[in-house]
Amino acid sequence: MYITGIGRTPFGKLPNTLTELAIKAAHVALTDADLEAKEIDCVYVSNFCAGPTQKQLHLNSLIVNALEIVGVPSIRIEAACASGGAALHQALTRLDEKKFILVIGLEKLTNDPQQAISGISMASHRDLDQANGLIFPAAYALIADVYMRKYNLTVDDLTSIAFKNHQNANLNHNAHFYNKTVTRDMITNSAIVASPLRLYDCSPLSDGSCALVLTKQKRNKRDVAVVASALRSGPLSLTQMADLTTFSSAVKAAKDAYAMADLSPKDIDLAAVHDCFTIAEAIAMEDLGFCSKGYAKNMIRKNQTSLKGRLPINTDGGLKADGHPIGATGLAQIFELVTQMRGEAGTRQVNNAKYGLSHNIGGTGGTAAVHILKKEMK
Amino acid sequence: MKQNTIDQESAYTVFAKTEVLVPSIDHPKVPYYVYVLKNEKGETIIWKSDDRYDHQTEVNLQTKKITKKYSVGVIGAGTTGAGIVALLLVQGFKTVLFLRDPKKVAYVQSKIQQLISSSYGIEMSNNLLESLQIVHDYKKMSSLKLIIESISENKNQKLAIYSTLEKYVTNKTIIVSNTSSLSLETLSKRLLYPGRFAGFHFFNPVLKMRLVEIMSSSSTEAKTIRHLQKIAQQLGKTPVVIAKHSEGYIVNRILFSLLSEALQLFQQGKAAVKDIDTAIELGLNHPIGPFKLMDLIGLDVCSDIFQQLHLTKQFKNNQVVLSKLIKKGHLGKKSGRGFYTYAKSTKKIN
Repeated sequence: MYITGIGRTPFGKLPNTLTELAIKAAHVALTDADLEAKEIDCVYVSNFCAGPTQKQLHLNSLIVNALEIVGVPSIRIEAACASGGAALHQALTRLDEKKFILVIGLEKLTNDPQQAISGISMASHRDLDQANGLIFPAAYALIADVYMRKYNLTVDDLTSIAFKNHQNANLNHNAHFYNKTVTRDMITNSAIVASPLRLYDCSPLSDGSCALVLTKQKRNKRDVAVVASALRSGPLSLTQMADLTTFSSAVKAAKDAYAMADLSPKDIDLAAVHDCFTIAEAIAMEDLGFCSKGYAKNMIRKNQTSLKGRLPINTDGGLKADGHPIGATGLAQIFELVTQMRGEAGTRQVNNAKYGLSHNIGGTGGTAAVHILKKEMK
Repeated sequence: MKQNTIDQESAYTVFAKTEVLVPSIDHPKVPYYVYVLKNEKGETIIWKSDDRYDHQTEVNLQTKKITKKYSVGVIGAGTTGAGIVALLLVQGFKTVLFLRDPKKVAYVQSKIQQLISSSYGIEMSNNLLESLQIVHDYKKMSSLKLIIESISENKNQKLAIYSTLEKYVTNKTIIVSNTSSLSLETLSKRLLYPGRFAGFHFFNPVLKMRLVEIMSSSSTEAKTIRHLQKIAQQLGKTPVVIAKHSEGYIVNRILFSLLSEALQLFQQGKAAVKDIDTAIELGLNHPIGPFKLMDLIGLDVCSDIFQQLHLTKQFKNNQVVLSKLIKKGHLGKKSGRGFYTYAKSTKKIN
């Protein structure tokens, strides 16, 4: 299974409609794959929030109509912030019977931020969490509160994660925070959103779209192989989690993915992890086996996850600074890994990367998708 | 998957907390607070409130009664005492530290601040120190439910402290000693209410080491032990209970038996210090060998503990080796020389 075409829009506060964003990303991906829309024989659409924020549902039909390929089978996948990873996983399972599948993620959040925050809350348990004031920054703040007291992670460590991702985003012209200088002081002094998390610990509300074209047979040397695709579920409510410092769905999905690819965490050369909040990046490093439980701080303090580090993480800026247009996010992680594996990442290029891993989380671990991509030498 | 609902019979405590400052459509009024409350069964619920509470605050959801944050007293501000204070603060307990000498307040505060900030940063350290009250009069500890004594291993001083404390505290106040070597029977013999007394032994560095040994004397009441187990868990530690008096509890009893054997091997000329350390490190996977460990603990401290434990005749023999070094001022890492010699940077050099 290969990714033969990738395309995306910039992420950020954009003037375009949902449909315009999708058409743009799809056309870039189709051009990249040297295909016409009519050659696509199946479409998977990833979106989370268009119902509550745009009053638009039935997106599978919306997209095939916009691309003028009415008649091809299409379906919308929703798994909160893991919608992209889940859609890719589902599409890969159908690749045996299709020649070219388009997976397209899209989201529009910035036209009504209040509605967006309220809509995003729907990814948590209505009765157990939402009704009790648990918007997502608060959920991750509670996770941070427990994690930081248990494992001695400092606010300064969270600053380091945010700072590193903003530096990477400044090398990514598509990023929400491209060309925006963010200093450690700005992060440190930013307003508290939900203690201990500050504004710069949180990923932004972004608009954007990202598309991938999948094919079973390798077509050319720029195609990147998908060697593992794993999807797992986990507790929906914080109250259903046995341990607030780990996402069991991510641990299980990672274990599945490593087994499928016959790899271990040590084989991974770069990773795109779900840093919806800075604390989530630290937890992801541990859930994926990049370090032992409680030791993410050591990797952070030694700069091991920076572009020049032992294991670069979120080379595009991550959700934190590339942006988080929810339905497109999981696919944008794949976009970055493919770009890196093709050697087309420019000033943020990681050298000699053979295996890249993506980690896409829904809510506080209700869904987790992990994919491993391989750069084939021939 | 469990579906936690509020158990009206349960007492909940604040396990995690956040102050939310961004309004949303469903929750427009800010700031508000969201808590993860945990009951004795380990079940959690999310709870929203307009009021701020600290970790470990007890919340009765049936009566809406909020029990103020549990305050704990500490007597002694040496390495372990300061570590215990830092731990209590980090875990959300208001802490009352007894310090005999008012001149040492600034020094002790800075020591505790340093302990917290090295792990949690300066900002958190400054915030937490607001929950520390330093007193110089035992009367000011009269309302506390738990007092942890952590002075040096001096039996008479400890006995005097307990007698004084009993004049001021209620008979429900639990008094514990951080001793690891003195007999609890001896320490509790003059107490009016020995049922409230137990051993509560922390390990250094207190913020990092995850074990607490709880030891019962023959008079300790079961409810005292149960309460201490709960407190240890709230402090993020794993408690183990020693039901009957054991010299050195579990850890020091086994550790000093091992150290004793190491000294014997060396004294009898059967193996060199370095080889014994290497054997234990590689053969038993211990992080450091017995001689390096004795240097780290301090040979004078080791000698004291050997004397207090007096488990076997061999322990007396060990004093010969240790006394020779101690007389020369070779106390281990802290003096620059013990079984090994250390450079000023405290790295072992031979």
